[in-house]
Amino acid sequence: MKKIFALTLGVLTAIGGFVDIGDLVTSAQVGARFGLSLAWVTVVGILGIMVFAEMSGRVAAASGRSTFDLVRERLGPRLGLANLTASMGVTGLTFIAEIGGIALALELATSVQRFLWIPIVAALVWLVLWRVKFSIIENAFGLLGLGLIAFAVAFWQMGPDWGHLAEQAATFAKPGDEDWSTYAYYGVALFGAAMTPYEVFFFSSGGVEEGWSERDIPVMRANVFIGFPLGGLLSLGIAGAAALTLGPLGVDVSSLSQVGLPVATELGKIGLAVALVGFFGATFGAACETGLSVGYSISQYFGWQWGKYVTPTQASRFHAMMLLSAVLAAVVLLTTIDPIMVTEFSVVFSAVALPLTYLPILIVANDEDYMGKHTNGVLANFFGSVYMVIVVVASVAALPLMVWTKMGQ
Amino acid sequence: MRRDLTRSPLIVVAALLLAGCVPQSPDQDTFRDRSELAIEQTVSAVESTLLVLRLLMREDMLTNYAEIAVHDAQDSLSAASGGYDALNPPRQLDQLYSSTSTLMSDASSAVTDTRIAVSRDSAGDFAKLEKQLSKLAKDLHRKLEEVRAR
Amino acid sequence: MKETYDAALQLLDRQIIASDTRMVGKVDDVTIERQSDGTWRVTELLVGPGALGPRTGGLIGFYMKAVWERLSGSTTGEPDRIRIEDVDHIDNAVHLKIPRSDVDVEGFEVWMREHVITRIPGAK
Repeated sequence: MKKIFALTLGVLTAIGGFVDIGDLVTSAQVGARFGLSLAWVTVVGILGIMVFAEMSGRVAAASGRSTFDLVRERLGPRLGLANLTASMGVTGLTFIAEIGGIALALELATSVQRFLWIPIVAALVWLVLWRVKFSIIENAFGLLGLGLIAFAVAFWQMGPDWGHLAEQAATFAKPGDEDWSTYAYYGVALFGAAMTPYEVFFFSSGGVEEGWSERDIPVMRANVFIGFPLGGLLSLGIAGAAALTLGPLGVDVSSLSQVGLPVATELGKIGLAVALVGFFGATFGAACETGLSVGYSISQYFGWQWGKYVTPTQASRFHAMMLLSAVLAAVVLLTTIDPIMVTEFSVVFSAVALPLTYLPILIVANDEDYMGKHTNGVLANFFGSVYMVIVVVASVAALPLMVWTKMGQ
Repeated sequence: MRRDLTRSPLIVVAALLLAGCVPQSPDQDTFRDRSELAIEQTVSAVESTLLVLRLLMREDMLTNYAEIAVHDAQDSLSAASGGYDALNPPRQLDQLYSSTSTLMSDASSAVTDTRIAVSRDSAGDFAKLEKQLSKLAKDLHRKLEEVRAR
Repeated sequence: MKETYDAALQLLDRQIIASDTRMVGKVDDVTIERQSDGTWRVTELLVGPGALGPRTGGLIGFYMKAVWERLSGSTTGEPDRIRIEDVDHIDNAVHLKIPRSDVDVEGFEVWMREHVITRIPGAK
């Protein structure tokens, strides 16, 4: 009974925790402009994150070490440092975007300006990282994030023409008034949002925090193979609802308030309130995960004591890094920069950094020294290699497309 | 001497930076594209506002949320018109420029009126504003088709 | 039977863990000494930016070491070290025989603890 509860909790957390500010904004933007003609990218992205999350979870369970703890041993200190700088940059940017997202969600709920919320939110996120137990961080916000189911319900209730949508999703075509370059740009952004690097940082370090052993591999797989695809359905629900409501009106999503409008149209006040809870849970959970990931990656490069399983005094450098990140995020956001713009940048730069994150996982998961009998099998290596090609293509294309399309205009 | 100057990367960078500060004088094609973009942004803001207003009228909308949503629309509208007004239109397209500008400023004042009405919670004004916004939206969509057709 | 051991692959950059499971640092470099029988033997593990900087090389490596020297008040510029006698065994990490408190490697952990972390309520 207890086992079933743990399994259900894990899966629910994975569903609610799958979506973050990047997915929210990008899915709604893409839905409103391109309908479901880019839905295949979301599907490809979900499959990709499943392949690599399973791999890094397996590394954590088999070796008791987080993937990025092992990266430097295989890449050496120089390349390892380059990797650290790039992934910390992207994760830090995502952290800022998530904190901005929380502030926007609270602004929508209270109509109090976001600038008043930013310092409070940054302090709250830090306080949670400082004091709250890992398992609570992981579960509580994932469960709140389930509020985003409102989008899937709203989409369902709109009673879309499923045949037509399936055809739109399955064929490689774009709406007539868009260019192929913007289509490709949003495809890359959507892919970056689905495969955000911090997700695997967090997943594998979290496995070590919770003391996973080989016995936990089946549960980990259940979370990944059931929770992630269902979480991906929330992304598709957001895109679908935006496609049916905002698309025909010619609304181009440039603020978080527009993201929630389809839910209000279909489910009224209560639905909108539930979606707001989902916004808050999803962004707050992701802020904690990215904040921890910043601490994890730098500590693991230098070998510092890290983790929530020891007290802050025992991991002072790890906690100092997280404190610094929270302060920095607040300062950046208080310059009146638009959090939605930060989000757009963060998903594109995620796409750029993808190979740096995923190649080391593939290398370590193939190392019998660490993995023993849990070394990658043929299937994992097949998907891993196919995805390395996709990830490299997306990474190379991301910046030129961003410049060429002026960020999708 | 002149060749030396153009070769210096510092001067090239400085020239590029300065060029960014001068109002742009786009050619006709670029100006049409920019007008299309400006109208698209206006459509987006007006339709969002209209959607929020209609949801409020049938009591499917949270008041706080509505206030921020209309405020967001107003922000994006002022950014769009700021960018568009900074352009120097080519002489041949004065007509396009003035009609687009007019539509944008109409939209701007309608959205502002809506924001004030929403924050005052004066439901009595909603019907009138709804009518005004939906007419504006219709005009904007027509204008957009006209610009795209060219 | 003679086994070869690739220290660069199997020792360098590994995590060092004290006997009380606390993390100490990475094996940033090692010192080797020639024995009287002509073989080479690892005698010390070097830990911290003082060792990592020179190994990284270039401008970044230079500044890594310089900043560390300035902040740690080290006058000799010698990196922190752990004697090989204190090593218990090596698997995917280097496990020590001694607890964290007996390891003479601090980095800025102690400074950070005393000046920042313990001053914030709830650190314990």
